[in-house]
Amino acid sequence: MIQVEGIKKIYCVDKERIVALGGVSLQVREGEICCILGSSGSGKSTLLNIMAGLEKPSRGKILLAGEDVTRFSERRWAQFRQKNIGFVFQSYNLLPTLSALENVALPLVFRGIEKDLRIREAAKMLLAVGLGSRMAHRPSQMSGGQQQRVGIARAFVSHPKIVFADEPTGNLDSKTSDEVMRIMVGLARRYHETLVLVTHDREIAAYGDRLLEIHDGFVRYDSRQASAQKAGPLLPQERKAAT
Amino acid sequence: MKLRDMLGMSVKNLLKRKVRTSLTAAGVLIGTGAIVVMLSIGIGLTEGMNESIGQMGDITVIQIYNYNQSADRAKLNDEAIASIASMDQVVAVTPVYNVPWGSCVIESGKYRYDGSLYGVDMSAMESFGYQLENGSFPDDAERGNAVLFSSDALYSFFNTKKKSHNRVDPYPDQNGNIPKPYVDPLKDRLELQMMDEEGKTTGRPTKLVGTGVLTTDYSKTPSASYAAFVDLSLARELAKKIKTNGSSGGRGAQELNYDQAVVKTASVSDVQAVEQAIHDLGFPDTYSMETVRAPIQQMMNTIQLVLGGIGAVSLVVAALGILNTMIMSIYERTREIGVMKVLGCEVRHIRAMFLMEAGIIGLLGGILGLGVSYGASALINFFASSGGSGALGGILGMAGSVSTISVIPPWLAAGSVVFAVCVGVVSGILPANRAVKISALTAIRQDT
Ligand SMILES: Nc1ncnc2c1ncn2[C@@H]1O[C@H](COP(=O)(O)OP(=O)(O)OP(=O)(O)O)[C@@H](O)[C@H]1O
Ligand SMILES: [Mg+2]
Repeated sequence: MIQVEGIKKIYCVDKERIVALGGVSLQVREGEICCILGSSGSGKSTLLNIMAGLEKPSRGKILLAGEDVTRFSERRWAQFRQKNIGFVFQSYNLLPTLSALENVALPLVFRGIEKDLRIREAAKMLLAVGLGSRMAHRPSQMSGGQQQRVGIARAFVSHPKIVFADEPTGNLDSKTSDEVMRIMVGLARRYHETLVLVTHDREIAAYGDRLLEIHDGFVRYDSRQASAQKAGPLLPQERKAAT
Repeated sequence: MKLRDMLGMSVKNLLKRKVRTSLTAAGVLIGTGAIVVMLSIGIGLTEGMNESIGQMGDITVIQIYNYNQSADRAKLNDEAIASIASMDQVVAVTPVYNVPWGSCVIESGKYRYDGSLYGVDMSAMESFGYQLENGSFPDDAERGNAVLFSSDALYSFFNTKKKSHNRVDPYPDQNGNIPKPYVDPLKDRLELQMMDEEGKTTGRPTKLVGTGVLTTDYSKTPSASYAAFVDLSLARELAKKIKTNGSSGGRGAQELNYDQAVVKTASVSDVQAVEQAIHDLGFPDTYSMETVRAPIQQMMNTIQLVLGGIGAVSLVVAALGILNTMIMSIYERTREIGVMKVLGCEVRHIRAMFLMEAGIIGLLGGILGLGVSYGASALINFFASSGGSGALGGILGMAGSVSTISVIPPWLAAGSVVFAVCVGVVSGILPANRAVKISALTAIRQDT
């Protein structure tokens, strides 16, 4: 479903080159729940944003759902996102003037879906995340956990092939985090959707089928490869970068 | 994204900030109002001028005089008339045959009319704006021996059996009643009678039928005052007879070279071009109200330009207001725009939504501004008519008694609203392009 080949991302700040990603290659299978774990500043968000098309890589190639999206124009990306990508933010990012129901229906509005149908779909989604009684509420009238559930409903409403989530539990306490994770993983399994989730919390990462650990812009650990070959301490890219 | 959804979101965003939206729209209101009121005054002045010139003569009519009938000159014959009639802007044209005075009279029993008699194309009279007091214009069958008197000409009938006190005058008597003329052309029998040089009737009379009576109107050419009209076909026969009688002193219609013709154009703006075209056909002696109107019109245009310019300045200020409002709103909504982009909203739809918002502000201001303009216009006209010669009345000096100073024609009403919307949309272009350029990533990273 996701295929990343040799992604590098270098930021230039005041003539100083900051290597956010030093060369990452990975593959995520359809229906896989993949957690990317790493300390702060390790490049997790950068990797996720590049995979979701919010940022362009300095080098490398990305294939999503079999399509090479590396050179997509902004318009192609928008249309591709409408159909194939859902996004869950750390800080929810609901539109404050819209009700929960309208927020969930928003991606369907952008797809040009008729009002009746999108309201029905959005309501179904809100029921699925357990907010059936809060449809008309504004974000400001809901708790953080409830807002994030609205955010999850919004990410899943158009049944995208891939959902990206950047620290979806970053602003929540551990009990609410568990609740939110269970809902999100549950939805991904139910609709057989690919979920890529970024976190720095090992417990959260344990919800996934697969664990990727990132350190200073390199994949330091991949649970799939580890189980396949019990790899040595350093991955080849790291060795190359060290020299 | 559907148009309806984009509109809905734009409206929602505007409603979210009601005070700001209404203040911005108020700017457009003032701008539109200023332009409309200023232009309406210019239009009103022009209309007033046209109206008062129209009282002197029809402003769309060109008169052709064929004074110089020497052999090397173009002949004002039926062929020339036909080529004038074929011009696009010409609504109607007729030659005018002045029946020489004393060559014939119209009689009804013992009463006689010996005033002016014109031969014109009667089928064109209605187009030239001749009005009927009663009766109707003759139809095709009647035209050959129809006669139309102007209402005052009926008082020219006199009793041939009396030497004095042989007329009725159209002045009210002691009781305030205006006496009836001797002859009612719709009922009484009328005969055209040729006259010889001694002033005696000669030859057999031609029977005439009065199908109507023309309203007295000096502004027409030929004037519908103390005049009778017959159709050109009858006039041609008359001309032939007059020539053979030799009673006219040679002023007859020599091989149909008319003395005069009148041309009616579709609108005032065509007069100049048609007049030029007539000159080109070889008839340099023309006259129209254009010689009076053109210089005044030029002055009016200048006044209108100045007035419109004053209004335009305030609309420019309003446009800056829209620009400012939209840029403010983009700063506030940066994060929102970023989120929409991440959720798959296309850039062109974001741009469209911002342009719609700006356009709606323009529309709102435009409609309200138009409403205010109607009110202001009514107020100006009220004071102008009650105040008589106020400051504005003074400008109007030459327009005389015309009391409406401010006129808002439909095109101005529609045009101003469309213009206001355009101003809104144009002011929205820059902010919209700015919104589009916002990077989704920086937008969602921004802290709220
Ligand atoms: N726009 C940018 N300009 C310059 N440097 C950047 C930019 N974005 C990220 N970086 C740098 O890239 C590196 C990786 O950043 P990234 O946001 O991916 O970290 P992260 O793993 O998501 O950390 P956190 O857990 O704190 O969110 C950091 O060193 C950061 O300073
Ligand atoms: Mg991050």
